[in-house]
Amino acid sequence: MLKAVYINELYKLRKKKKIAVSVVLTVIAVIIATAGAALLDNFGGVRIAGTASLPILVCSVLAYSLWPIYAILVTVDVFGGEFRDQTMKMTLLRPVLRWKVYLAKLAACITYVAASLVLTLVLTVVASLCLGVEVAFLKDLAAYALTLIPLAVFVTMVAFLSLLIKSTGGAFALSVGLFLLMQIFGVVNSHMDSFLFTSAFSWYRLFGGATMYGGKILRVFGMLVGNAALWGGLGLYLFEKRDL
Amino acid sequence: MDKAIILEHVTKKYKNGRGIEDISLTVEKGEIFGFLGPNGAGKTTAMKVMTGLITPDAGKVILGGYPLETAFEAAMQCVGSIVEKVSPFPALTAYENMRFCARFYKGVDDARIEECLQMTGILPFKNERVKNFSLGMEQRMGIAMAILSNPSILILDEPLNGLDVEGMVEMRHLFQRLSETQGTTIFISSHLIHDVELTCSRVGLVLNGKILATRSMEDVLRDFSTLENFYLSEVGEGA
Repeated sequence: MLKAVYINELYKLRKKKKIAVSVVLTVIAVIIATAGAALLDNFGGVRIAGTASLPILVCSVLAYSLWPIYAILVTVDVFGGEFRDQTMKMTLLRPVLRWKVYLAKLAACITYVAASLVLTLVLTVVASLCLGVEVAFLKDLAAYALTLIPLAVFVTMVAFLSLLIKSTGGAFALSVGLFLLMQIFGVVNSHMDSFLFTSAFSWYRLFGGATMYGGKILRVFGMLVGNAALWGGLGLYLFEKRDL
Repeated sequence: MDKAIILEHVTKKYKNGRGIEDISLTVEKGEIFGFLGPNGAGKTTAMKVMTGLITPDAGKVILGGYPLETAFEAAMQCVGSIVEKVSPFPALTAYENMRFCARFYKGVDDARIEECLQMTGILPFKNERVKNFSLGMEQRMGIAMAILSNPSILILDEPLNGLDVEGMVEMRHLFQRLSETQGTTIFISSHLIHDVELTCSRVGLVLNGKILATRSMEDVLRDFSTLENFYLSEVGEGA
């Protein structure tokens, strides 16, 4: 039954205009990044794509901008939106337990975000090759895969907020607001940064360098797991209790 | 006879004080049970509790021999339903909405989907997006979705809403056919007293969240000559 819900969710997402819009925005973002890198390289004498590969460069920008927005848009729609317009009934009237529905919806949202990352990686790798820059594909793939983990945790937090606040507009605003607040707080108070899971959006930098910060990696991973359990658990509680 | 639907002391109260209180009733297998009551009496609340959309404050629901609280998936495998209103995904076509439902049941293939769309008269519109459907067409699709898995129990909240006269007659005959040929138990709430009189074998009246009476249609027509007379005598003309 979990698989049935997951396939249904992916099918519904595929049919939504948000998908087409996010694909277009991703392509535009990559074009801008590629054009910027090429301009700086050819006219500014600054080799951006040499010091940090274009895929990593784009990843570091989108991880704090477009990807969290995608995560918020799709998660608010899948949870809050379906309760608001009562289409959640279509799933809840089927022979499937609520916790399976919740997990499958989360998985679908994370799959959507993962697809955005994959698309970006593919486009940036192609752009790098067009620029004549060497590509360390496995390293770039690992960076994108690691970036997905904190984004997945973010999805669980947004799911909780969507279930907490009945208004989809309110859930969207609160999710964006909290994300920005966590970013600002992390910058203003660097000691607190390590307690905020949003600081882990660029944790791929801890891997693959000359020195591997094993202890820090473990701490960040533990923080991500803890946050996933917290937001996921709270969200599941609200989802189970919600009356239609 | 086997009991297809059992409600035992089911209570659900909303913050505004409305809801249902201590509702107990049973529906035998193969019966078509009409659930009548004025607006706000608790009919839809009862159906929401029966299908797990809301959690009761107290009481137990047993569908097809399976307690809803502890064996939800097994219970709901037996059930097809329309509760409150049909809420399909507007961006999907009728066929896609049916496919969405079909994924939850074994053995429900494209042929069965087309059969249900044919039985409810919307096969010609199967590739149209539901957002372009009229209320009547949406309702027909809701009935198609409810019968899709060949359920042994149908729980239908105002299933004839929005249908034209022809549609009401067609759907009424469909429900009777399902009951007679497949032994499907049908629990219907409706304001259309005439249709309930023609369709149901037993009726239950609910007022202010409580069951007033349950009687066989045969007894009602013998003692009151029409269902309307029975309804008004129990509920009162001012209700």
